[in-house]
Order: sequence, then C-alpha cells, then structure tokens
Amino acid sequence: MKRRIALAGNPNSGKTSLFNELTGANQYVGNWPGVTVERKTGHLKEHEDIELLDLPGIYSLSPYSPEEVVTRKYLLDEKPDLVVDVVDATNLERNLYLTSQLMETGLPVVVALNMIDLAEQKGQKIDAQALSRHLGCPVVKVSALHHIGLVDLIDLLMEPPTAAPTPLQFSEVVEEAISALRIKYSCSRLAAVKMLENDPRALEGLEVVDLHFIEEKRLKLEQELGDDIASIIASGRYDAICSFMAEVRGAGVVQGNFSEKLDRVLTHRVWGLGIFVLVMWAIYSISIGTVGAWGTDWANDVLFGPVVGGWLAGFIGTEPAGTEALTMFAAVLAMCLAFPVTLRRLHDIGLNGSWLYLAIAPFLLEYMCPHLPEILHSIIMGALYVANGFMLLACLCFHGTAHANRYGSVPRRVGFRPLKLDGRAGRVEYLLWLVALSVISVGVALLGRVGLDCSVQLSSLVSDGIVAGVGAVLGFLPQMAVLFLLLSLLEDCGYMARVAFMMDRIFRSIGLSGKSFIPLLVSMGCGVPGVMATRTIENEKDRRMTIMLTTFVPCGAKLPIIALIGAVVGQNATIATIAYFAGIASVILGGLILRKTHMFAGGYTPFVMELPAYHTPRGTNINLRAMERCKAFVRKAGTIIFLASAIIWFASNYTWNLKFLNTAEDEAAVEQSMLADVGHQFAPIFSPLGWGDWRPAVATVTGLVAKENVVGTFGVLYAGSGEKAEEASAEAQVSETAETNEEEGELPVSATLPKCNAMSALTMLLLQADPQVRAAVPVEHVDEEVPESAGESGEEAQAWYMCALSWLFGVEEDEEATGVAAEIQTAGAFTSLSALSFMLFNLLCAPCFAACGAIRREMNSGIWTWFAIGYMCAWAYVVALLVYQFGTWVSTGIFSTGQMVACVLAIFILSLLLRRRASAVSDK
Amino acid sequence: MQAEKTLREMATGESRRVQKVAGRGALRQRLLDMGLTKGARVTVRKVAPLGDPIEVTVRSYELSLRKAEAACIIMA
Repeated sequence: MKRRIALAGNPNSGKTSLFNELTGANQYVGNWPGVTVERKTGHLKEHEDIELLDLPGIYSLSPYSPEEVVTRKYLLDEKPDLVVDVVDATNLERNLYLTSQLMETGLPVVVALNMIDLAEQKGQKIDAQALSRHLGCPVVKVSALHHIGLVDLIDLLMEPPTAAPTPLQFSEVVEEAISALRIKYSCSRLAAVKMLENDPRALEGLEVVDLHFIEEKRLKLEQELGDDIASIIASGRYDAICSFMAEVRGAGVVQGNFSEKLDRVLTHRVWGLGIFVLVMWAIYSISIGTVGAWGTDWANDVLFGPVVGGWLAGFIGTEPAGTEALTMFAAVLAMCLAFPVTLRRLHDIGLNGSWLYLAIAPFLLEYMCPHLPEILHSIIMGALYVANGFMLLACLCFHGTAHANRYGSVPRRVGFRPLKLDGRAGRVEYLLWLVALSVISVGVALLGRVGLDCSVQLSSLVSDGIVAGVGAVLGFLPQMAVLFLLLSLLEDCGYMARVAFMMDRIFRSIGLSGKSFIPLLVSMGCGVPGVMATRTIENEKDRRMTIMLTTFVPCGAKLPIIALIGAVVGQNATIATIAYFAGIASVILGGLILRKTHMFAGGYTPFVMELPAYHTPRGTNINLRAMERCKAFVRKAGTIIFLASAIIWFASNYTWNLKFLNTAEDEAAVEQSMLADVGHQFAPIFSPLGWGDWRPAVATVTGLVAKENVVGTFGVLYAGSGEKAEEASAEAQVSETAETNEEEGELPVSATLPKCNAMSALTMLLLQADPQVRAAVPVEHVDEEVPESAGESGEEAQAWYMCALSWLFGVEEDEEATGVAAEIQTAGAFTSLSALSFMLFNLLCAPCFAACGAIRREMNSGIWTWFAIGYMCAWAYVVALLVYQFGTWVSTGIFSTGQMVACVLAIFILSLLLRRRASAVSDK
Repeated sequence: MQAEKTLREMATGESRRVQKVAGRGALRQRLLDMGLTKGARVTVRKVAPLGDPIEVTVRSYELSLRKAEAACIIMA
C-alpha cells in the first residue's frame, strides 16, 4: 500500500525546496509568500511507494482563506499517514503556531526545522531535543538548500512515529471546556477547539441544543477570562509556545543581519522609490528594449526568416534549402531540444543553470555585431566556443553531486521525457539524449532537401497560416524569456515582497493590492506573462481582478494599432497618449466598478504580509522558473495559436462552397471568403461605434489571433478593395520599399507592411522606448524613405493611409489620393472619431488567444474566463460607443437615438462607480 | 504606565506590547494568527515610502500591515 506523507507549513518556510530535494522534482520556489497555489505530489526518491504531497503554505487552520480550507479539508478528510511540518528555524514562534494546530489533528507529525543554517548564522542555537520533548514529536534540523539533515529526515519518513504528538496545553479553564466538548461529542481535539471558536465548518450539522451547549461554554470562558474566544485561543497557543522558547533557543543574541541593513536602503522613504523606479526601468529596458529585443529581432529576421522559412520552402516546395540555412536550422533545433536535459544535467553536477546562456551567445553575437573587426570577432567567438566545449565536457564527464549525496547514491534510469525540466539527469542519460536529439535535429533539417512540392493550398496553409501565426507569437519568446528571468530573480531574492509593500498605497485606492503592480507592469510588454505573474497574488479575489484588468494595459502587440490610427488621424502624440491613458483609466475604473460587485465583495482584503529576509538568489532556481514559464508559453503557441491560425487561414482562404481563393496571390479575393461573410454579419454590431463596415469587423476578429494582425489585415483588405487600383499599387510600392529596406539591413517600416511583416515592424516599434516616438515612426518612414529609394512623391506614399481614411469616413467611390486628403481636412473630426473608437475597441476588447489561454489557465475555471473576456468586450464596446456618440454630438450637434443610448450607458456606468459596496458576505 | 494608543499611532522605532486586538472576522483572525496577540511586543520599523503600509517586527520577524489594520491593534 502506498504511504502518503503531506508537507505542511507556513508560506515561504521552504516546503517546496524540501519537496524538490526529497522527490527530485523541481517545482517553483520563490522567496515570496504564497508561491504554491495548487497542491503537488511526487514520490520519495528511491521509494516509489511513498507519496509526498506539497500543500499550500498557510499560517493557521482558520476557515478564512481558500488555502487554509483546502489544507484543513485534506488533513481531516483524507488523513495522510504522516504530516511533515516544515518550520522556518529563523522564525520559530510564528511557525510553531501552525504546528500547535497540526498536532491537534491527531495525525502523526514530524517537525522539520528548515533553514537551520540561516538561523545559526544569525546566532541562534536551537536545541532540537528540547523542542522535541516539548512538542512530543520528532524534530529534525534540516536545510533543503544546503542538503543538511536530509538523511535523518528520510529515515524518519521511512519509519514514522505511529503515535500522535501531545498537543500543547491551554490554560486550565480552556482545557476544561475542551475536554467537556470532546467527551460529549467524542471528537478530535481540533474539532473541539474549532467548535469553541465558533467555526461554522465545525458546527455544521449540529442540533440547536448542541449549539446552545457550545455557546454556553464559550460565553462562560469569555466571561471568566475577560476576552473573546478567538483571542483566548490564539493567545493560548502563543503563550504555550513562548513558555518553552527560552529553553529551546538558549541565550543566543540575534545579530542585526545583512537583510535588515539592505532593507533600510531598499525601502527607504526617499531612496526606496528611486531605487524601485530604477529597478523597474532596468527590467523593462533590458527585457523589452535591449537584450530581449536583440533576441526577438534575431528570431524574426534570422530564425523565422531565412532559416525556418528556407527549410520550409525546401520541405514543402520544390526549391531545396541552402546548406548554410540547414546547418543553422539543425544547430538551433538541437540546441532547443537539448536545453532541458542540459539544465537537468547542470543541476546534477552542481553547476549554475545560467551557464546555458553561453550556448546562445554565439548566435546573438553573430547577429548583433556583424561588423566586428575580424580579430576581435574570432577572439570572442573562440572564447565562446571554448567555454561551450568545457560546459559540454563537464556535462559528459563529471559525476553528479546528487549521485554522491549525503543520503547515499541515487540510481538513475534514462527518462523517456527529454523535454522534462524537473529532476536531474545523469551522465549516461545525458549522453544518450544528446546523441539522439542531434540525430533527430539533423534528420529534420535534411527534410529541407526533400522538396515535396505540395499543392498551393497546403503550402499556403503552412506558410501563411501556421508559420505566420505561430511564428508571430514565438517571436516574442526571447523578450519573454529575459523578462521572466529578471522577474524570477527579483522574486527569488525577496525584493518582490518589498515592491508590494511600497506600491500598496496606490493600488489599494482602486481596490487592488500592491501585488498587482508587477502584472500590470509586465503587461506593458505582453499580456501573457502579465497574466501569469498574477500567480503570486495570494488573495483569490485580488488575483482574479488583476487578471481581468491587466490586459487593458496596451501591450507591445497593440502598438502597431496605435501607430496606424495615429497616422490615420494625423495626431500621433495625442493618439498614443489617449491609448495609454485609456488603458490605465480602464484599469482604475474597472477596479472601482468590480470591487463594488457582489462577486468581488467581501470588499476589504487585508494586507497583512510577511516580509521575508533577503537572500542570494540561486541560479538554477531562477533559470528553472523562467524556463518553466517559457515552456508554458511555447506550449500555448503550439496548441491554441496553432489551431486559431489554421482556422483563420481557412476562413479567409475559402468560400462557403469550399472554393480555394489563394489570397496570397490575389488579395482582392478575400472579399468572397467566409471570413468576409462573417464580417458582414457582424458589422452591424459595430455600426453604433462608427465603423460598421465588414473590414474593420474582420480586422477585429483576426486581431484575436495576435493584435498586430489588425494592421496586417487592413493591409490585405484595403489592397483588395476593388477599383482602388491606384491606392493598391501605391501600397504595394510602399511595402516593396519596406522590403527593400529590410534587405538592406534597415529596420522595417511598421504599419505599411501587410500581414507577416507586422511582427518585425512591432519589434522595431518596441525598440523605441517613448510611446510618442513609437507612434510617430510609420509616418516618418513613409515620408523619408519612399522618395529616396523608390522615387515616389510623398503624397503617393501616403496613399495607403488615404485609402484607410477614405474608408474611415465612408467614401467608397474611386478617388484620387490627393482628393481624399482634401476630403479629410474638411471632415476631419468625424474621421478622427470613428478611428479613435475603432482603436479603443481593439485595445480594450478581449486580448489575443495567447492571453485568453493564459487567463483560462490562471483563472482555472471556464466560467471565470468567459466572464473576464465578456467583461473586457463589454467595457471596450461601451467605451468606444461613448466616445463615438458623444464625439458626434459635440462636433455636429446632432442628438439622436445613439446619443440617448450613450447617455443612458454613461449614467449606468456612473451609478456603478458611485454606488455603495455590495454587502460584504464573508465579513462576519 | 503609558496611555493606551493604537499601533497606527506609534512612532517609528517605538516598541510596545499588544493590549487588545479590536475588529472582527477574517482580518482579526489573521492578525491574531500572525502573532499579534495580547502581550506580544511590537516594534514599528518603518513606514512605506508613500506613507502606508507600515512594517513592524513582531515575534522576531518582519510583518507589513496597512494603517487601517494597525488601527485595530490597541497597544499598552
């Protein structure tokens, strides 16, 4: 029979670290309370018959937080064979408070005094024997991080004590009441205490008479002790713990430690904020700006360009790919595949996981610094290759540290999951996988020479549908990886908790907590990691609300939309400002409105948070967490986005009679597609927003795959709008110009590029830190570059925008681009309005599929996901409607049905904002 | 004997013992669970840069709580 052992303990007491050491698995470990959200199981190393369960961190078994309820329910209903109580040795008193409750469950308990090395560094001498005597259960000193005492702990797990520990005693009067209840109901001690405490779960199903009996006992106690029951019980526990604290801890003087000194600077009233701004700026600029952008540029320009593109053309087309591209393809593929197993191997030989980045360095160097002096180039490259060689050699030759661990040797079998990130890989396993993965990579690369010569339909599906869609999303990966890495670093060292501490003031006023800051910040880069970052918010309501609001922040992929509309309206700076302001205002108003609904009532969420001590971050730990998140992201791109791209491709390339249109060749054909038809059906919905044409409706739908598609779709749909041959050709010229520029090594032009190029345009946009500069880019490029390289006049170069504009204010006739420009000047207000409303809707409505997937994952509930998405769409619709209708009213003075509806909606929103909070259900 | 005041009113660096925890429900239980029980010594370490929340040391660890919550804790 399997034995089940549960790990319980306070948040941030190192349960997960210990769990990882005992099972050989690698779960998230963060220096931030509340990192374990779900419970996780594993098997004790070498002992498959012992199942370990990592419970969420809790401070008490009270019935108030979901984590506490889950833990208590598990302990009482499923009765594990043993509870390992992980106690943070640097923080004995508060950790033992939970111990005192665990001991009352009647289950056998073993106390693991974790982080014992840290406590001893601080000058605390802990007498484990004395503690064991007082608690009546075994106590082991361990350090999961430094592999101390794990042998003893494992021994204990093998032969656990059978008897339950002797619970700590309350004062005599309380004990009397408890034993009276235990006798009367023959229940566990914990149940009796909970009955006294008036815990609804303990009182469930009792008769009125019994309730009266318990009530009587409680009142008697309260009267005798002159305090209320919650306070009596809590004080009773702490008093019992304090009574033996002096004996256990000895007379050791705790020295003021490094953490305290560091904290004095980092959360200083004046410098604290400055340092905070600097840190956030650094994170943002490194991940989105410099390092991350190099990576993303490389992925878009090299990897998904000539390398994957070339391979694909060779595989399904006729033209075999060049040797260089194929070598690169094989190398990159082998590297990606070997990444996880190498990480596990590095972990095994005790090397930092960051060494892995050496493997990527040559690729990036080649791309970033193509004009290095020959000598310098070869020196750096040589050094990188030597370092990589050493790493490989070390991986192949060294014995693992885990192998010769203090708790004996661990036999390792070759796993069949090379992509698994957790655990450790042995020498043999590594060698085998390395060879196998290399063979696979070379084999796959050689397919690039096959030349299947597939039908146009299939190759269109693959290249325009799937590679364009998935590639667009995967292009983000380098930026995300850097961002995840830096955030993991902050989380691991303990700074995140301070961020929450400093930011709480601002976020509380809109109904969120300080912990919501990080997701919102991250969402400026991309909503997917932003949503994932909400995981660190322990309060469930706060977490859900942050998930719902965080994608309102304009992310990187929405920048092309902002740029496009900026160009259309001709007020780049204003439009960019409005976009960001609208995003932030939506977060604020959303917070205020949602907090007042019944769903988020319970209104006030306490912000009583432990500030853990700083410690030096562990490389392997950080890398693992970052990689785990990247893996989740890649998995999403591989499934949801893959499907969505294929579906959108299908809908835009086929008629209802399943006739293939090949829009890549003939862009005008898209008008006959299913997508266009669906767009026609949906268009009336958007007409109150001022853009009831099918094209923007379609663009909105394709924007769901990835927001930058909106611009790309416009490019396609307008190129094919029938008689506008001149505009279309102008646009083609513009994009040709852009492509020429790209070939010449210049950055591509943003909004003017159709479809797939929108992604690389985005990258360029991301490079510009200032939103105003970003928004101004497309027009400048059009103005400056076209006359130079293509010899066209500026007017014609802008024809594409004019084309968009002509539609925007409903001029369908064939007109000269210059005529359109004149038209705009006369009716500018109207144009700006519907453009603005279009932009607002697209910025605020449901995020891209990737983000929706992340929302689904983090909400962990279908209903909540749909509620979140529905809320976003409704909000976007209302905002766009208000802007358009009121704008029309102000500019034309016409007040009709639309304006009336807008007025009603505005009043409704105001009433939502100003109404009183829904009664707090849980606040009793 | 000093006059009673709440934790909120204590100055940075000041240290007192808890007299009583007011309030009710989840918040109060959480405060008690975190060790802010009668007789526990609490030292105010610092105030966050924006004036709220505050950081205190209780039972030899650092705890952050908002001023509104600190107002529930009456110190002797």
